[in-house]
Formats: sequence, structure tokens, C-alpha cells
Amino acid sequence: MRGAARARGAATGTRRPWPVVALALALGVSAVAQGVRSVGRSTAEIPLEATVDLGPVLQLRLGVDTLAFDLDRLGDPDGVVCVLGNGPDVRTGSGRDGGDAVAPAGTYLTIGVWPTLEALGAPELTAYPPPPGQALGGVVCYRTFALGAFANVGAWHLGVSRVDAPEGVPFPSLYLAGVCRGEAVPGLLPIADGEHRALRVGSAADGCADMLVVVAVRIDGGLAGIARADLRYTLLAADADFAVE
Amino acid sequence: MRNRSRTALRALALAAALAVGVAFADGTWEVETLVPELISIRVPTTRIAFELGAADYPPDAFPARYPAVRPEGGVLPVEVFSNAAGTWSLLLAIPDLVDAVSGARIPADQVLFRVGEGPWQRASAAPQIAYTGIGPTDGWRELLVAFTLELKGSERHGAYRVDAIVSAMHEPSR
Repeated sequence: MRGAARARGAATGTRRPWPVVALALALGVSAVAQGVRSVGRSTAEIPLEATVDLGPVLQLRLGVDTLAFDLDRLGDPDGVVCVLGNGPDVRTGSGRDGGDAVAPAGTYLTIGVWPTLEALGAPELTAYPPPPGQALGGVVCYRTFALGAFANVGAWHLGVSRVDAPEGVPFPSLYLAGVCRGEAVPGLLPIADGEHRALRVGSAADGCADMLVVVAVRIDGGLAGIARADLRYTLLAADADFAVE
Repeated sequence: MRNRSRTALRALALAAALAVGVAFADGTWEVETLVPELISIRVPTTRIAFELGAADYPPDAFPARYPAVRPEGGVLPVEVFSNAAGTWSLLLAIPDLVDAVSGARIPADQVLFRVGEGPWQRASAAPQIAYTGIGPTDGWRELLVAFTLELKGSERHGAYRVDAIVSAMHEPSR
């Protein structure tokens, strides 16, 4: 750093033993009256201040506003996938909220090529009802959609509430799961009418920008007709992250 | 020819001095001009600011790049003066950005810079050469240094800052 000079404000002067050079420096200072300059024999340097202002943000984006389980459209490339399970739900563990996570009618899922869902160990139905001799109660249908949950706060909670429509036929058993890219499909969370379940909790560093929501219904040989339920997705963060007390 | 004229002038001056009875002394001074080797830089502002608004943050996909909002257009004009032969370089050193409240960091390599239309370089705490010139600049050479911030989506909210250094270095002549 020999010969180096620290930066100084433009208004300050510098004494030099050479009149010609001093004159040149004086001219340079006047040309940058609003700026900063540095001069040295071999090195000159100026400190800079860099700032990034990143406000707290939550954002929730749903890829669809309606998710239809139309049993007349089994086999459509973008339609519902139904598999024939067997027996009662199998508990696989606990959800993030401590409630049960299950394999509906003993059916398990995996994601092959993102975001394609594949059923494991259960035959896929190409038509409804299933062939004669098969129990109607083991039919489980799956659909997925993309959900974008973004949060840059310390901790966040993505929850789902279910409210069934009063009209129409009773809605069948409903299950949910949230899968981030690269993860295995977790156990599905049963959610009843009027209930709230935590789909995911996380922090800003979780990096789950692409989430696939898996929605499953267990038909259980229900009545013909249209059943409707509203699912409200909510992304929550602590007030402190938004400077609210 | 010039010496002959100078001698004639001296003789004339001496004769004039004797005629009026004035003493006369003669002397010669060499005039030397020493211009030292110097390198200098100047900038109109020392603040580089990135501010992200709700209109463009979060982006549709990460990683996403955001140009600095200060200086205007995300470009810092850095003027370099060098009056020496040999190579001179413009360097930038930018450590990690830190939020003083949470202690969260944005790594230095998520700040990118380039000179003019050159390739983008990722910043680091160690000084990096942004531009190299050869020989005197013949006055001030303006280099337009553009800054952009790359966000990966995992950055926590906060007010981050860092002290960076822009410097110019001249390699001694051999």
C-alpha cells in the first residue's frame, strides 16, 4: 500500500511540492465538486457503501381456483387419477401440527418426473365404478396443483381450512399433502369439515418455491351427484416480522 | 546561432551598464519540471443502493436479478487518471452484506458487477480486477461500472449494508 492515499472529500485540499502538479489536482477537485476522489503514487481507493432494503413479504399463489374430481373423466391426461385401495386408512406418522398423517385405504404415492404423481402398489382405475367383485370403499382419487408460497420472514405457517357447502351430496373423506420439489410425498393429512390443518411450516431459508399440493378423496361408494367443499389456504407469519405489535 | 546572439546581447548589456556606471552580474538557472507518477480515481457518489418493491418482488422465479437503484440506472461512473507507462487496474472488493438487527447475510457473490458491456463478475471480499488499462489515460478515463443483485429466494427480509472499496492500482514500470 506504499504510496496509497485515502479518499477524501472533494472540498479538502492536498499539499504537493510541485506547483504544476498542485495546479492539476486543484482543477480535478473543482470538476468533481459533488463527488469523492483519491490520488496516490501507485494506488488510489475510495470506500463505497452498498445497501439492500428487503421488506418482509408473504405471497401465496394458487395454480387453480377449482379442483374437480370428475369420475367420468378417468384416464384423461390432465384428469383425476383413481386407484383401488383396500381397507381402512393406514397411519404413517404425524403431520406438522401433530395430527395424523395417513395412507388413504393403504394407497401410497410417489412423484416420478416432477410434477407427475404415481400410485404405488395399487391398481389404477380406468373407469368408475371398479370392476365387479372390487369393493367401492377402497377407491381413492388424487389430483395435484401447483402452489407458490413465498415468505422471507423468520417463520411461516401454511394452513388449510375446509368448509363444506350445505347443498349437494355429502362430501367424501378428504386428504391433503404439500410436497416441495425433491421431497418424497409425505403421509396425507385427513381434514374434516370445519377443521384446519397445517400443511407446512418453514422459514425463509427453506427454499420451497415450487410446492405441489396433493388433494385426495376417498369415494367410499357415495351417492351420485355433485359434492362441494371450499378449501381456504392461508399463509401466516409472526406480526413481529412486519413490525406489528 | 542562438549562442552567438546571446553573446552579442550580453556584450551590449555590459557596454550599456558600463556607460551608465551600473554593476552587472550574470547567471544561468536550469528549469526542471518533475511530474510524478500518479494514479487517481473519482466517483460522483459513494452509495450503491438496491431497493426492492412490491411490484417486482418476489419475482415469478428465482434466481432473479435486480439492478441497483442508486446511482441512477444502477451504473457508477468511475473516472481513472494515470500518467504513467505500464498497466493500471480498477479493482472492486465487496464483502458479504449484513443485516445488523438479525445478523442475516447476503453473500458477496450475489452482488454482480461489470464494466461497460463486459461480462458480469461476482463480487468477493478480496479485491477483484474489474478493468485493466495500459499506459497513460490522457486525461480522465470514464468507466461505467454496473451493479446488480441476485436473489435466490432464501434471503430473509432486512436492511443490509456493507462497506466496499473501489480502487485503482498502477503496476510500477520495470
